[in-house]
Amino acid sequence: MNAFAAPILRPQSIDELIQCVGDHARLQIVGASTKSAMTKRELDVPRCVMTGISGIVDHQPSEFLITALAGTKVSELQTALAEHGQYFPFDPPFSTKGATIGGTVAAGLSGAGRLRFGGLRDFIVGIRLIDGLGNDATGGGRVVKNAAGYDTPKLLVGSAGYLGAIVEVTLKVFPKPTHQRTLCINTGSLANAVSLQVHLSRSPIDLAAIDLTTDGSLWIRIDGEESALDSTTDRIARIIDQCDQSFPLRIVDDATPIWKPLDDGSFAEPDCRLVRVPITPTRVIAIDTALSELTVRRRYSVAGNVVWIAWSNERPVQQLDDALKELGLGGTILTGDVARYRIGIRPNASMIHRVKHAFDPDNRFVGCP
Amino acid sequence: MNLLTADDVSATTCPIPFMSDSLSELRTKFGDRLITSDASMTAFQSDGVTALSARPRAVVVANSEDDVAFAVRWCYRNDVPWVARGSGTSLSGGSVPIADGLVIAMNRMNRVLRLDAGNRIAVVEPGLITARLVKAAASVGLHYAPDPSSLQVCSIGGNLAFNSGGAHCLKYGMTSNHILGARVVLADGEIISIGGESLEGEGADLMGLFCGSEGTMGVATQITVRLVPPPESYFCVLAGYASVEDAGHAVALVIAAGLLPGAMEIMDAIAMKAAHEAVGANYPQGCEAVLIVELDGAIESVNADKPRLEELFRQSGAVSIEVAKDAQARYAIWTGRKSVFSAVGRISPDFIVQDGVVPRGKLGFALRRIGEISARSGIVIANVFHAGDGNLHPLIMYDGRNDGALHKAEMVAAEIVRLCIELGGSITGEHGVGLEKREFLDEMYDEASVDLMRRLRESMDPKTLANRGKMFPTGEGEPVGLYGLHPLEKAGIISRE
Repeated sequence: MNAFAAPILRPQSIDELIQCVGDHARLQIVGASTKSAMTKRELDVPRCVMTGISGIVDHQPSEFLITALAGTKVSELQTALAEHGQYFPFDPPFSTKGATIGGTVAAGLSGAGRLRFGGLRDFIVGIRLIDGLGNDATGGGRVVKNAAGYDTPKLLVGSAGYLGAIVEVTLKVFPKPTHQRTLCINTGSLANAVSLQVHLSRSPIDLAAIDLTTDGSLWIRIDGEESALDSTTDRIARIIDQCDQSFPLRIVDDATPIWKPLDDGSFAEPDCRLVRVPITPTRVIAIDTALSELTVRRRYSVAGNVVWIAWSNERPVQQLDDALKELGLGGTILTGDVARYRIGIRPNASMIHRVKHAFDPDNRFVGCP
Repeated sequence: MNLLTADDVSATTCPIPFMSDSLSELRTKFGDRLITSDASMTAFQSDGVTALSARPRAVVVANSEDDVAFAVRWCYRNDVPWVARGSGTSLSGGSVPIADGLVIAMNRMNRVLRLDAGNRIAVVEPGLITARLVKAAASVGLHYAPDPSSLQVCSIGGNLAFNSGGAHCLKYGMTSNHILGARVVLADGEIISIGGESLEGEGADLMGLFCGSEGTMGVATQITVRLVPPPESYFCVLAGYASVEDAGHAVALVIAAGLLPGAMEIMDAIAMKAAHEAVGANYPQGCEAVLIVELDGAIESVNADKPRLEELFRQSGAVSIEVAKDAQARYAIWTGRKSVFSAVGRISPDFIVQDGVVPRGKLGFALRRIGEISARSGIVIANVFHAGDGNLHPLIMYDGRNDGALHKAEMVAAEIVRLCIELGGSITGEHGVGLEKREFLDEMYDEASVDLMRRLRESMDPKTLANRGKMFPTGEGEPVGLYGLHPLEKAGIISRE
């Protein structure tokens, strides 16, 4: 028997969604619920599942644009793009788990590949949503360049469903490099890896991704024409040679075990919560020192701009929350069992409140931090 | 010069006249940095759209966030509308003062506060000239990527407010893609920090919302920008074509081949002629259009893409292909391209530069339609555009000394804006809505969308004091828009693209 009194709504069209919004004073908007901590079921609040509002609305390869309904699986978009040699350079996480594009926007998630050309926020150009008044509104457009009106598409990135129900998204896409290669450099310590990473990320080499591990491995992804990969690899090797210490560089045959744990969230499996915290590269060592005291698995991504933490379901969230606050950091718990998904410091409360009031004056949509 | 009245410029009500006793508060705080004399305020009356002008009641010159907050709070208490002004180079009338309102001049807040090469960021004050930011970044081996054509004089605060573009947006994005965080004084005086120093954000993207809000929510007092390693290699090609359509077709080939150039620019015959006369730019004979395509990035990537691009050019039916052999040749190609706006000023006493966007695949159709509009109206229109992202810049020429010429040119400009909407594009790619295009916002967006934007504005600025009258339509007659060549454009220092 269902322990929840409130219904689960599955609108199959935008009209049905508008009806749902009009009929319910409180509503929780969710996609495929791949970020389980962000979509934790709220007691007594009807849950509106967006997966029925699905499909590619428009894909003009020559425009570098794709428009899709919010419930469309990211993997479906990636397949359609790949047929025309295109892709999302920001590696949207959880796509192999069935994440929807609306959910990905609402969660504000980008993966390791956001290093080179930017994150989801840099590729979103248009949005359509149902706001808290039940109005069907748009922002941005279906062109790659646009400065008209407020940039509501960007605002909705990371908005976690509390501003409105995203129904359609237009994203810029890029030509997919024909080849990619992952390099692994074992530096022996995180401090060495950080110093090499700072060095590399200031060089003019086009690097698609740089991740660091606590044991000092530096994983680099490069992409482009095959001929360019060899010369780029040589060049990275030369940069390493200029360092005080020499570190072995190897080309990784099968890069899946390296990138998959963050691509699909399995980094935290089987029994941890997955936590994502934006940081800055020069603080990696200090942050890692603090986190190591908590004995938790962690990985530094996007050249030291994000730390991913696997926090055991058995341990109280409060402990990590306190540690992050101490460090002046705030993040999101994406998966696992939690009371609320935000963790650490929560800045900007006043401006979020203002924006919330504009989009949803009656506080219809749940999830506002 | 047309002086706007308070009715023209304010969206709803006339500003309440300053009371002399409350003005004395400003006098006490700002001393001689409070400017009230007509002569001294002349410089603040208009912006890049030189013929649009309004007289503020006073100008305060801010030296600090505290000054800005004081002025904003004073305005809030006294119901006085205000505009924060950087270099005043807006090309949409976005920094034209509100008649009888207050101008907060930001240009003295122009320091680089921190250059952090390790985190690849710079923290700067909003009045900093963008070219100086580029120079500061270069001093630590890094680069600030956005390159609006007014780079030499515009300020980073203005770039943020209007989400400025430039020639490299397809690959590198607009200003907003390079702003990580800011301290902001909201219109009701609250000071907030949004965004941060990380490439990744957390929660709803408030920084993204604030960028491009055209000064209608508040004013940034400190800005954190993202820096990148400078491209080390360029490959620049200029090809001549028998028609603009052929040049457009070549752009489609480049895109279809999966190349991602840093810039793709097209100029038509009139623009070429103007550039030739102005800076002696040499373009191939017998061509009706030229296409400039530039690859940039790491040496390895550029070298790998070079032969593919050259082959595409050969297949594209180009009449001529010129590869820039060295930095000097590349500079010459870009000088010609960037001179077009000042060059057109030489062949026409006045002109309107339009800034619209159409889907890239509809560029050819849009240009044919613009040609028809030109033929029908008898008004000469030169075309230069950022072909990579469908951003048109038709230059509509007229002689303001002739009665009705301006009005006729404005009607042509309006027709082109509506053409962009009709083709599924945008009323502005990079100049912003400002005063110039406020009447088109609700033609591009439906009522529910504009309502939502209004509610957003009111949530930040409940009294609609911050840059009142900009961006949102007023419903008061024909679109406002008077144009002329800015003195710096005449000198060829800045251009409108």
